[in-house]
Amino acid sequence: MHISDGVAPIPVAVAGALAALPGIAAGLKVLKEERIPAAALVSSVLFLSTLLVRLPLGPSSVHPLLGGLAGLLLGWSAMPAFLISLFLQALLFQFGGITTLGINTFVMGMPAVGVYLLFNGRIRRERDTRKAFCLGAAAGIAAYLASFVLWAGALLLCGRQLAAIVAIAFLPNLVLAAAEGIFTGFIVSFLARVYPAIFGAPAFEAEGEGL
Amino acid sequence: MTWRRGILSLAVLAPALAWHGNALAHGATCRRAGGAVAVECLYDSGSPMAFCDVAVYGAASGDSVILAGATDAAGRFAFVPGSGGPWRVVVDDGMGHSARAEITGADPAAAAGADGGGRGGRTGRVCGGVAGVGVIFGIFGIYALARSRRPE
Repeated sequence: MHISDGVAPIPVAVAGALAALPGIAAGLKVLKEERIPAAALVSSVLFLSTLLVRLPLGPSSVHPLLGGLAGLLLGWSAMPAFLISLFLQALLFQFGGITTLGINTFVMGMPAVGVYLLFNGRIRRERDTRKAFCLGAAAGIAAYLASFVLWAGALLLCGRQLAAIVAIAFLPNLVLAAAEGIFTGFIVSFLARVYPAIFGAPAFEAEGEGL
Repeated sequence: MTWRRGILSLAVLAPALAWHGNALAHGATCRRAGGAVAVECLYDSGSPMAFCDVAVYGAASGDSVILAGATDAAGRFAFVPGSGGPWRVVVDDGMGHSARAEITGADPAAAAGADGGGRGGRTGRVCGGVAGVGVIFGIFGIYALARSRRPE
């Protein structure tokens, strides 16, 4: 779900960067020292998941985004985590691009923040692992589908046709959204049982303090 | 007399009908051309960029497309350069993925090696992945150091 260099006109690329900047600034502001290793770990997972897991579906290939998991674990700090992983993917492997870094960060990072705002509090309070699984799965699916909608919107702004985007990409991404939801649900239910503090207080305190 | 008029009419019309049939194929022939440059466009997964839009730009044409087309099912596209180039071939699948190749007409190897996708195969990808993880932890480590030194 990357947008490559040269696909986005300069005004769209600049608008994407400007849209992503406040979220990145907020993410850096709320990122406390004790959460930095977690942010580095999640950023590495985001970097590697796109790199190593690619499912050939249709004429292209799709890859996991893990926006739901990143948002639940990092909150607003998912934005800088995505920024760094996308920057290195563009630099090392030409996935996405440097000029489209802002758009790609916005497309993948903002749904993660949205999922954090919607689900993180409920997951923190949840003691039932089945319900934690369901919440995690819903968060994973919601983040993926929101990223898909933003990505399709960005491509529309780049002059692509909606019908072509939906015809080629909708079904494969729907399948992957479901798969990512199940994966996120398992991870969330496991972490909620063995290490619930990972969804923890610092992000909430930071939210009140920083934003 | 009526049948004589019919035969006469046919005799007059026959050349006209025959001429019309010739006109459909007038001046249009196809033959195999030599000197074509072919590019093969693949996603980093190795699957072909099939039926994707292709635009060819010349060195002097700037942003003007001098040739447009589409790749075939195997992700291949061929054209015959009119000069030595260089030519810039941009392949776009319309889904946010594009590949570029700089090609000179006299250098087929340049075309064979041109792609805009991942580089280095599986080994390169593993090495890049390990390097990337190292860089990520380095960036966050420097950020942690900077924050720890910031005066409260």
